[in-house]
Parts: sequence; structure tokens; C-alpha cells
Amino acid sequence: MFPSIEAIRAIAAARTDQVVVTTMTSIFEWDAVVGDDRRHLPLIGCMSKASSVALGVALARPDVEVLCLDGDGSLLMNLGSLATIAQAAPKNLVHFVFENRVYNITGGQRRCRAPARSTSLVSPAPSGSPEPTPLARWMNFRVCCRRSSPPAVLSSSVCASKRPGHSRRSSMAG
Amino acid sequence: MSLSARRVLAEFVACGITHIVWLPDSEAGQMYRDIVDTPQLTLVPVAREGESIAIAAGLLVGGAKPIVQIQSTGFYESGDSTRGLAIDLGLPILLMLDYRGWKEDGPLTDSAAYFLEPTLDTWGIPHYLIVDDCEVDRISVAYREAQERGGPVAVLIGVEYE
Repeated sequence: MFPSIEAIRAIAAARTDQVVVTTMTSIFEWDAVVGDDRRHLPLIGCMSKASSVALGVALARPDVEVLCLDGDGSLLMNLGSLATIAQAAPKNLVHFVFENRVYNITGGQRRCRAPARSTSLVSPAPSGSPEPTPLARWMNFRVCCRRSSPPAVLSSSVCASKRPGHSRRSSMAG
Repeated sequence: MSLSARRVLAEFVACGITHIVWLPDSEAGQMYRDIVDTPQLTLVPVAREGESIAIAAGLLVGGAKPIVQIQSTGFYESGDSTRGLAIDLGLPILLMLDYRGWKEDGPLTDSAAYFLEPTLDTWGIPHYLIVDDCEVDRISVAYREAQERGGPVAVLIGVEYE
């Protein structure tokens, strides 16, 4: 595991011209790492809806790659959006999920989670290839990274969005 | 009173609408096939209405011209994104709200109906009622008003589509 700011740095380093949709903690970390950014869409006023806004941008502009930097607490409030995104199947959307298991912006209170981590997108295994949980498989998400992923893997996820035929939906836990 | 789904969809096309973000309900369920058969319109189904305003916001940012088609109950579900996105950011989103429980005569007894217009009024969202084909041009009026005022405008559908 590594701090989310390191993940942000890795994503920012690999990012070229993609639109970046952030929410909650990722807003401030992206600002800290990247600074002024005309292609950054911070979603301040409406927690949980980053994945939905990112989907809208991706559908309106299939020629533009979209990176959604979501939080696990935020996504949990809008979990149905995973099914909506899976249905729409945009090929230009990469969905990163920072899984710190707490509401960081309100002081680190634990978010709800089932004992078997059924609300996670990735398995807790510390090594080996990424293992999607039943939730991710149900939503037809391809998991590209996970909690122990080094920053280089995150960078490759950003770059993967440029490769024809690659599944452009992914998740990670930071 | 008679409201044709095809007539309404033709009005959307005339407005230049590109996407319909929707969740079906008893009033609009019959519209599905007609939407799919209208090549100018792209259907974006959602798992829950609370997503619909946010998806429409993203579509607008990307340069598309979406509308949201949900039931009044779904509008209540969409409250936070209506507030935090459509109103606070001044997004010209046309809300097509199926007016569950609306009656031409007599008091409204369904809370999904009798809370709707007071809620829209409280939030400062202009609204128009449509129950017949001869009133469908109100959609264009509402759409233009949304663009001009820079905020959401609602069209309330009081009957089931035919």
C-alpha cells in the first residue's frame, strides 16, 4: 500500500490530454500535484457522482479519454453507477477507485463494508495478478490494478486507455 | 387527453436533443421502443434516477444536448445532484418528469403528486404541464427557457404516453 498522493503523481505523470474528473480528496491532491489544469473537472458540490459525470463526458466525447479519480466512500453512495457504466460500455473511460476504507475528508471515519469485502472491486491478496471480486465480475469491470500496485502499474492503466481494443474500465485501491 | 410518444420525441429532435437519460416508469414505459427507433436520439439507461442529473451534466460538459426523463419519485431521489449540479452550476437541463398521481379534477391524493409542484417552486425550477398532443410545443418553450436562464426547467407529464 502507498499513499494516494503517490498514485495521483503516477497517474499525472502518465496522463497526456485526458479529461480528469475528481471528487473529494482527489480534488485537492490533483490540484497539489498538477496545479492549474483546464482539463480537470473537480466535482465539489455533489459527493458520489464523479463516476456518473465522467460517464456523461465519455459518452458525449468518444474521441476524448476520461479518467475518473473516485473514492470508495463516494462510489459506495452511487454503486449502481457501475452497472450503468457497464451497460453503456464506453471505451474511453478509466475509473480509478481509491480504496482507503474511510471517509477521509470528514476525519477518517470508517465507511460501511461487509466482512468479506463484498463491496470492494479487488481481492485482498497481497501479490499475484489482479483478482476481481464478485462485485467487479458482476459489473463486468476489468480490474487493472490493486492495492499493492506500484505506481508504474497505475501509469500503465492511464496509457492503456490509448490502446485500441483494451478494456478502458479499471479500478485501483490506493 | 392523449399524448403520443412519437409526437414528444419529434419535439425533442426539433430542439436538437441528442441524449435521453432515463429510467422507465409506468407513464413513460411505452416510449422505449420509439426512442430506440429514433436515430437522432441516444438512450442512456440508468440504474437509479439519482445518477441521471450527473450523467446529463457530464453530457453537457462534453457538448451534447441531453434531457432527463424520469418519474416524479425519481426527481425526489435526484435531489442532491439537482441542487449541487443543475442549480448550483446553472446547467440548462430539461427535466421530463412523469407526474405520478396527477388528476385533472379533484384533489391530488398521491404524495408523489402533491409534493411535486411545491418542491419545484421552492427550488426555483420553472415547470410546464403537458397532458395532450396540442401542448407538446411547451417542450420547446421549456428547453429554450432552460438555455436562457441557465438552469433546469421541468416539463410535467400528466398522462401515460400512447
